[in-house]
Order: sequence, then C-alpha cells, then structure tokens
Amino acid sequence: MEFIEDIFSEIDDREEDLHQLVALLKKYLPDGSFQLVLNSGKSVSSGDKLDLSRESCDKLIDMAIKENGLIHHELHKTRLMHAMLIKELDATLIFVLPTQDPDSVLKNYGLSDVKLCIELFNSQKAHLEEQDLRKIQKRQINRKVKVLENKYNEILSDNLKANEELREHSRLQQKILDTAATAILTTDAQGRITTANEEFCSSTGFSKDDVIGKHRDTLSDRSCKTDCSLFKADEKQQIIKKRCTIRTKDDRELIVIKNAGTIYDRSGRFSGGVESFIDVTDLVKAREAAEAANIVKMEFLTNMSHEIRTPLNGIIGMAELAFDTNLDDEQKNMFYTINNEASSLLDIINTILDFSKNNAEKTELEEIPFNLRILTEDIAQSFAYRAEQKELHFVSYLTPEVPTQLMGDPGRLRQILVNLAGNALKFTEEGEIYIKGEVAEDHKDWVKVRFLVKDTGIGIPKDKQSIIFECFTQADGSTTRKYGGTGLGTTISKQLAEMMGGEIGVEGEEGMGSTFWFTAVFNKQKGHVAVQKKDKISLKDLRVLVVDDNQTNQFVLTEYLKSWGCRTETCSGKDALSVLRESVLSEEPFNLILTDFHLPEVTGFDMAKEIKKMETLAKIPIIVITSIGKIGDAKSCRDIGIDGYLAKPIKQDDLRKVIESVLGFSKEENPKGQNLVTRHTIVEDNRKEVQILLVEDYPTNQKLAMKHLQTAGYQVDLADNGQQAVEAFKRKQHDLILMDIQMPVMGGYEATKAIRNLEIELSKIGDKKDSAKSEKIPIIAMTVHALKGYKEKCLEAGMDDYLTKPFRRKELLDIVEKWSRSRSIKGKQLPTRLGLCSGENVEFKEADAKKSAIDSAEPFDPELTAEGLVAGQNPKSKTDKANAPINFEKAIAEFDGDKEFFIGVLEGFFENVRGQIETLRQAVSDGDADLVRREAHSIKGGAANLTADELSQIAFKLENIGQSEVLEEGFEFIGRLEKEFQRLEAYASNDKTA
Amino acid sequence: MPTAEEMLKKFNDTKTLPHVALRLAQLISNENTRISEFEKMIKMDPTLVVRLLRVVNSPYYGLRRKVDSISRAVVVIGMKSLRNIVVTTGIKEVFAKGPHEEIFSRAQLWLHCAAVGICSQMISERIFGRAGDDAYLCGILHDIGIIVEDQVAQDLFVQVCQNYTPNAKPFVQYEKETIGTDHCEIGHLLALQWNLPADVQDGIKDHHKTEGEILPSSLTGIVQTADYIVSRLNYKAIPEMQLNLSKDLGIYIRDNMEEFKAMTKDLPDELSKAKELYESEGE
Repeated sequence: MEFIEDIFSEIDDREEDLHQLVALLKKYLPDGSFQLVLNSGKSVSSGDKLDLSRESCDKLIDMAIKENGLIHHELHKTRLMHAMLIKELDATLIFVLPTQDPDSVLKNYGLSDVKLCIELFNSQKAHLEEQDLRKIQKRQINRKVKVLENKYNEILSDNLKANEELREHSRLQQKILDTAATAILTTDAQGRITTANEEFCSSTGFSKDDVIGKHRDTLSDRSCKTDCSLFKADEKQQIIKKRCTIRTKDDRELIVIKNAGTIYDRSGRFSGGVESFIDVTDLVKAREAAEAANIVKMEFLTNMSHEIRTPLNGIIGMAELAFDTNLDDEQKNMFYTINNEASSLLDIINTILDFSKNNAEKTELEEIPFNLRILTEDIAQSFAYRAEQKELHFVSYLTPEVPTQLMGDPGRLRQILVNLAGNALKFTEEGEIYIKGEVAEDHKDWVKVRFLVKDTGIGIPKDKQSIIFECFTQADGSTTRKYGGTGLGTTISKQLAEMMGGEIGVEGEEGMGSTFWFTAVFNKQKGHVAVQKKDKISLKDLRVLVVDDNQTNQFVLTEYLKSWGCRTETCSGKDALSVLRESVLSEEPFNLILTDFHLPEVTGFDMAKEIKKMETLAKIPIIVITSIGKIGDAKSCRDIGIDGYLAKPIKQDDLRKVIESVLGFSKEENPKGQNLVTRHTIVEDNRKEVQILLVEDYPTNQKLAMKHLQTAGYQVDLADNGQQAVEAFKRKQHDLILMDIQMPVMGGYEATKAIRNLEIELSKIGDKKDSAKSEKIPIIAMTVHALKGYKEKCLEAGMDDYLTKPFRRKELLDIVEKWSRSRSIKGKQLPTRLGLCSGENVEFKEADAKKSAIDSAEPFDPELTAEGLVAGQNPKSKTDKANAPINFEKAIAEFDGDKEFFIGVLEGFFENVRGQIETLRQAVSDGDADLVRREAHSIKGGAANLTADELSQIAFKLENIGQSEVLEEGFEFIGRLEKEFQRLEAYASNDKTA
Repeated sequence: MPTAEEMLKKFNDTKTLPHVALRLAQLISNENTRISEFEKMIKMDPTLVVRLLRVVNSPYYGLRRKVDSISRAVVVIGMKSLRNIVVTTGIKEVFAKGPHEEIFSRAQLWLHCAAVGICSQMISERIFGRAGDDAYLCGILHDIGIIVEDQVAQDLFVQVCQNYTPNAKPFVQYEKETIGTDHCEIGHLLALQWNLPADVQDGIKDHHKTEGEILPSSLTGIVQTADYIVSRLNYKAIPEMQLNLSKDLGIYIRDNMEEFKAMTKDLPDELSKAKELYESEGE
C-alpha cells in the first residue's frame, strides 16, 4: 500500500483521518489535550489548541521524527509535552496529559492509553481500508465484467450478423443453382456427388436422392478422370470445357457440353469438383440432320440438273435436226424458238449445277496457261453482237501494264466476266458497257487483277447492293419476272472470285448504272518474256487522228496507240475535216486516220469519201471502225478507198495488225517512209500460243483429248459438233482443228467443207496479196474408220491429216505438233475476219445441204473393221486377260499414269452408257435406225479408248444393225451390250477397291 | 524550423511504419470492414499472424480455449482488440534502441507508452465501466510524436532533452522553442492521417493540456490520468519528466481516491500479464 500512498500523496486529503484519531483519543482519555500535525507542510492540524508557538511545534515534530516514536519534552520548563510520530498518517501527535500523582502506582498510565488508542485507531483504519478496497475492487471488477459482457454481446451480435449473411448467401447460391438453366452437380474429393440442382434432375430424370452419395462415374461410361482430365492436381483454377456424354435414369445417353472445375479448400487441398452441363443432344441431332439434308439437297440439285440436261440435249438436238427437214417458215420459226428456249433452260440448269457444285465445294480450279488479253477480247467479241442489237457501245480494255501470259482457270474467269457482262447487257437499255482490266497488285510471280464491268443501266439501290451476291437474290423480286434469270450469276461469280483469291463488289446508285468489280489472283507464266513487241514494226512517233464521238472508245483507242508510242489527236466527226485541213499546213501531217463508222452527223464512209476527194489528204490511210453486222458491203469500202476495217469491240492485237498492214500497203506512197519497216512474221514456237479447236461430241473422248492436249500445254477450245466448230472458226482464230467425223447436228466432213468455203470467201474479201493457201487452217480428222480409202475421203473433204480412234496419246501429240509447227504464221489478217460475219447465213445452208450426201457416202464393212480393232489395239488382252472386260494397266498408261483422271473418265463413260442403253432401247422400239447407229457408234469409240474391247465389239455390231436399218436383232444386241456393260462395271468397282 | 506537417511527411517517407500495419489501421477504422478482408490483410504478413495469435493467447486476454486462427481471434476478442494488437505489434519496431540512450531511451519510452495504454484501458473499464479499446489505442499512441521528432530531427530533440529542467517549464514548451512544434501536435496529425477515431485523435492532441475543462471520463482525461499514474510508477517517457495534472483531474482523482488506489494496486500485475503484448521478441 505504501507506494500507492506515495503516488497520490500530492493529492490525498488526510484531515478526516486526523479528526477521527483525535476523536478516538478524546473518547478514551477525556482529560488529555491532543493536537495532530501533518509532517509534510506541518500546517494542517486537528484537535485541541495547545497554544504552541510555531517553533515549539516544529521542534517537537522534528524530535519525534528523529526518535521515530514517542518523546517527552518539558516546554519552557513548565509543561511536559509529549510528541509521537504516527507513520500511518505521516503525522505527529502532540499531547499533554493531566498531571498525576507522581507516587501513583499507575504511573505513565496516560501514555500507554495514548499508545493503545493509536494502535486501535490504526488497526481500525487498516481494517476499514481493507474493507473499502475489497468493496471498490469488487465494484471495479463488476464494471469490467459489465464491459466484457457488452463486448461479448457486441461480438456475438456481429457474429450473428455475419452468420445471417452467410446463410443469406448460401440461400442465394442454392437459388442460383436451382434456377440455373444448366445442370450442375458437385462432388467431393472421391468423386461422390454432394449436390445436384433442379435442372440436373429434370434433364437426367434422377432425383437428388438417387444421385447424392453415388460416384459421378455412374453417370457416364467413361471415367471423368480420363474423359475430361478432371481431378488432376495440376488443373488448379482451370475450367475444363468438354463435349461428352451423360447417362440418364432411363439409360439414354445425352450429349452434353460440360464445364468442370476443381475445388480446393483453405489449405490448398483438393476437396472436390463442380460440373455444369447443357444437354445438346437434340441440337447435335438437328445439326446432323440439317447437314445431311443439305448434302441431299445439293446432291439432288446436281442430279436433277444432270437428269434434266439429258432430255434437254435431246430436245435441242432434235430441234436442230428438224431444221434439216422440209419446214415452212412458221414451223422453222417454231423450232427456232424451241431451240432458243431449250438453250436458255440449259443455261439455267448449268448455272444451278455450277452453284450447287461450288456450294458443295466440289469445284476445283484449273491451273493452265492462258492469255488474258485474248480472253477478254473474246468475251467482248461474243457480246458485241448482242450489244449492237440494243445499240449499246461495248468496250473492253486491258491496261498495258496487265501481264497477259497468266496461269489460272480461264474458263472460270470467263464465266465471271460473262455473268457480269451478261447482267450489264440485260439491265442496260442505252449507253455503254465497259469492261476494264487493271493491275491491283503486281508481284514477282503473281499478279492480282481488278476487273470492272461498268454499265449505264438501271443500277442497284445502295441498300440492295450487299444482298446482290446472296443466293437467288436480285435487287428486286420483280426484276426476276421482268428480266428473267436465276439470280445465281452474281452468287457464282462471288464464289469463283473468292476461289481465285479475290473479292467482288458493286458500286453505283439506282438509275445511275452499276459498276461491278472483282479481283482475282493469277500466277505469271514461268519463263515467259513479253517478246511480242520485239521484231514488230515500230509505230513510234506515228501521228494518228482518232475520230470518235464516244469518250470511252476514244480513250481506249488513244491508250492503245500511246502504248505503241504513237502521238495521237482526237476530234469529233464534225471537226475531223477541218482538223485535217489544218494539219496539212503544219509541220507534222497525220500518218493515219482512225474513224468510227457511227458518227453523229456523218458516217465514217461519207467522211472517208470526203477525205479521199481531197488531194492533200487522199494519201493518208484510213481505218474505219465499225460494228459487227453493219458493214454488209466490204467492197464499197475498197471502192471508196478505205484502207482497213476493224469490227468492234476492238482488240489491241487486231488494231495493231490492221495498222501494220495498212501502213505496209501505203509504204511506197508514204512521203516520209518513217520508221515503218517491213512486216515481220513472228515465229510462233510457243505451244502456249497454239490454240486448238477440238470438235468432238462424245464426252469421254472430249475429256480424253482435252486432258492430253492441255497437259502438253496447248490451249484447247471445245466444239460439240460441226456447227459449233464453224461458229468457233468464225469467232476466234485457231491454229489447228481436231475434227471428229460422226457428230450430231453437223458432221466432220460438212464442217470442214464449210470452213474451207469460208476461208475462200475470206481470201476474196481480204487482201489480194496474201494467198489463200497460207490462211488455210490445218484440220485433222479423228475417225474410227481405219479403212483404206478413208484417208483419201478426208483429204477430199479438205482435211489435212487424219488420226484413227482410239488413238494413243503420243499419236495425238505428234500429229498436233506436226501441224501446229508447220503453221508458221499465226493469225489471220484482220480485214478477213470482218468479212466472216456477213457470210454467216450462206455458209450454213451450204454446209447443211451437203451433210446428207457425205453421211451416206460412208462405206460399211463390219468384219474388217472389227478385226482391225481387235488385232490392232489389244493383242495382249486376248491372251493374258482374255476374260477381263477392260485392261486397266494399259488404259491407265494411256492416261499418262493419271489413275484418278482415268477413273473420272471411266465414271463419266459409265454414266453416259447407262443413259445410252435406254436411248437405244427406245430407238429400237421407235424404229429409229439412225439413232441406234449413232449411239452404238459413240459407245464403240468410247469403249475402245478405255480398252473395253468386248463392249466396243458389241457396240460395233449394234452400229451395223442401225446402219442396215433392219432392227429385228436390235434388242438382243442391246441385251448383250447391257450384260457386258454390267460385267465391266462390276469388274471396275472390284478393281478400284483392290 | 520545420512544421509538424513537414516532419510527418519526412517521417512517412522513411517508411518506418510497416505497410501492413498502416493498411490494417485504415481497414479497422472503417466501420464496414469485413472480417474476411481484415483476415486477408493480416495473412499477407505471416509473422504478424504468429505474433497476433501469441498475444491473443497470452494471459492478458485470459482466454480459456486456445485460439488458432485470426478469424477465430476476431470472434473471441473482437475487432477492436485485435486492431490494438496489430497496431501495438506494428509500431513496436520503431521503438528499438536509439543512439542516445543515456539522454533519451526509445525503449524506455515504449515501456511508458505500453503502460499508459494498459492503464488507460483499466481506467476506462474499471472506473468508468466503458470499453477500453480506444483508451488503450490512445494511450499506446499518445507519445508517438516523440518518435517522429527523434527520427526526423534528432539533434534538436536531443537538445530539448538536455535542456529540460523539471519544474521550470513544461516539456512541450521546450519542444516548441527548440523544434518549432511538439509531440502532441505531430501525434495528432498522424492520428488524423491514420483516420483514427476522433476522441483518440483528441486524446493524443491534448494529453499535456492543463488549461480549460477536461472531462475525466474523456480519452484525454483518461490518458492524462494514466500518464500521471504511470510516470509516478517510474515508467517515465523522458527521465526527470515532471507532469502537471490539470486541476479538474486532480479534484476528480482526490474525490475518487479509493477507486484509483484500488485500480493502481492491480496495475503492476496487469503490466506483467501484458508483457507478451509489448515486449520485443526474444526479450
């Protein structure tokens, strides 16, 4: 206690204590006088007044403190004073006791009493203080308990709150689980299911009680450990997404998409997993069904197109044959219409076929060499006539930067251009159509070309431009009704452009015309150097006046001329004469005039006449550019003195050739002579430049010959019959024609004669100095008639050589090589081509008229031919594989070892023959001997090519029956044919699998 | 002469206080702090977790069952108590021995602060019957300004200590004259910065104030009283430090002498029980 007294000594108030002690002393010793004085400060006192001076008081206290107890002191020698230190109170008691008898027994009685009283007081005080302390301590402990109680309650309520939050949270989670649209389950570390939600129950049929506690692997065939790589220690935090299966209560298997994750407890120990899945069984099945349906749809479309094509070919063929019969004008018109309509139907079907093939991604692009300039100019050429009919300008222009010797699929490129140009033509009533090709990207080995097809037609509203490339969509449903068409053209174009590594798009506004554009990537032909300009006459610095009112034409002509170094001037028709007159006076007169025939105020002829009348201008050569079919009279051109003609659309090469030839004629008269050197012939030794026209009706043979020729690097165009061949001859310059003899519509002899007649006609119209002989195109007959005398017959018909079918690859290539090399001058002179068009109708009649005569002139010797075939072609098969319907080894060798292609051809052949057998049956029952002959003939050739000799022989016999027009045995032979064919098919399918 | 703000800024730049402790002090002063966040923060310092658990399980809290996790500790002793342990543990480090032990001993100051903290809590709980957590916090931090002074302006502070003569002028007067500010002002700013409860801030600011009315049950009153009692027990902040009690408090103590005596009687026992709380490792 002492140290505490000390701590609070400054503050403590002890007066009360002093009073109490004095009162106690007074109680027991009423006679005494007592005064208590605090040692510190010595000021506070209590009790009786002893009338002590300050000094006396201090002296007594000091003495008591010194003595540490009781002292007696006689003050002033009169008063005996007692002083006693009371440590407990830090005070001193000064007292006087009443005087006693000195002799009394009870001496010092008073002093003892005082001591006792003080002790009593001290013990009472200590007791009280002890009591008080206990009381206060109890009170304080109670307070602290209260504090702790409050604190505890606070903590408790906090905990309750936290608990309630947790419970709320867990209720929410349960709600989320049960509301979730995906099935959710959790497992413990051993994979036993601990919870499952409502969706789980409804999708699997299990109740919660069914599954909780079960191992999750009971829900599937494969363990999740292996299936989902779940529950692997290293998959921490990661959510695994898997498609797998879950077994339902009624033992169905659901296909599910599952998310699964692992759970780890606070100490990082693996404690379980969560799985959540969606049942996609129906979706998967629906998708599979949709995919299958789409395949079926596309196959159906493809098959249907094939199926429709076959009878359609019949319709077209028959309609064409009907032309040969005696028809009056009305009937002719009807057949013409049938033919036209059937042809457009065929076009539509072909388009659909293309679309469905592209859609099924079955189309494979070719990678063959082609000349882009020739291709675009050809297209322009083919559109020119139709454009002319609608009085539209049709211009095609390839910028000089565009490389022309390219690799790619010219057929497909052509298809896009024809589609777009066809649309432009369809939707344009006036103005012009402009096809342009330009370089989009030029790289070392490849080039990206951008093509534009611009028209001044009805245009496409902006909001419809994006859907124009979707399937079966035109800008407006009504356009289909008004203009016809499937609306697939642009879709196919898009597919093809994208396959060629490009894009497609359209610009323009409604009523303002459209510009369709697309890009395509082509490899450049390797090792090809642009040599054509070398060795040619230089046209550098040639002064040319271009008279044309059409801006686009003017532009294209000027661009071509500039690319050769010419210096050009342009003017309209009405200014031409004045421009020319002025030029006479200038330093540099014109060397050449290029004028359009259709000038707004004066025709090209009339202007030429005017020019020729003027002495100063008469010597300037004039080339008139005219539209096909307009210039009926080439003679009048020459009469007027026009030096050259050129039909629109202008081809760059043609223009050049005409200019060269025109300037060549006027060489002597040319006052300056200039740089015009002699005309060189370009030795064409590049096979890639050799254009072959293959005339063949039978698809198998078409494919075969095409494959051989294209592989060897030739450019091949195909004509299905003689008439097409004649058309092709007129449209395009070929270097060689391979001509089948027996074909529908127009046979090989007739076609050859028609072509030869045309050539004579052309040579008359054209330049007199160029002999007709050098212009003769080599025509090689392809015939199965390996008989003596046939060669003569072929040569008589105007052919140059002949090839016996079935031919070997080498034979074909040798003969083609021989005749393409011999033809050193490539290309005919241009004025010649111009004349072709005017003679169109005449030649056809001639050719048609001769047809029957030539056909009937074919001799008939079945035995010899059959033996020749067997002995000549297949001696080995007779011995080694006598029973095999086909000699695969040999046939594949014929196809250069290209087995895949051979199988393709074979399958094509099978498909054809299946149809032909039906056709033959029908023909026999209809008594159509000629049809029997023709069908049998084609089967014979095809079979022989594929080394199916037995089939070929039976077909040959059937052909003879048809030839003899006695059809009684027809059915029997068709039966034999069919049997052999089936044997062949079975053999082939066995062999393929082996 | 630097202002209190400048000194505090400099002090903060020295990053003397552990980051976790600071962050925790802020978390605790926010009413909405969740136990989980608090626990997460503490767990960032594994030694802190060990220390906290040791303190929680010390005789000072007198728990019957051993506590083995922070969340459990929170549940058992409450967030505020835990906060106090965190703060105590956090600032203990800055009271490590300084270079002028003979003139001013940081360790001595730390014992003083710990004792004032514990005594304040006792006064609050045993005399006023109120939760003593904030009183403890105020007590343990009341002289934190001295540490700042010693850290940032040591020469000046040593000068103050040397010049100080008991009974002449109050200590803060010397500080103001030599340093330009005093530890009450600095401590107050720090409390403000840590976003401590308002009465804790006031208690730190006013613990040497003698003029004006001071409510004995306020934190200021409690800390002043505790400061007085502890200094009498020779747990002095500065050797020879003479404290003046405000008049109001003197009267109150005299009038309730028995209470204070009883409380003080138990103080040494409490201090020894709380050794785990304020003694440094290894001591």
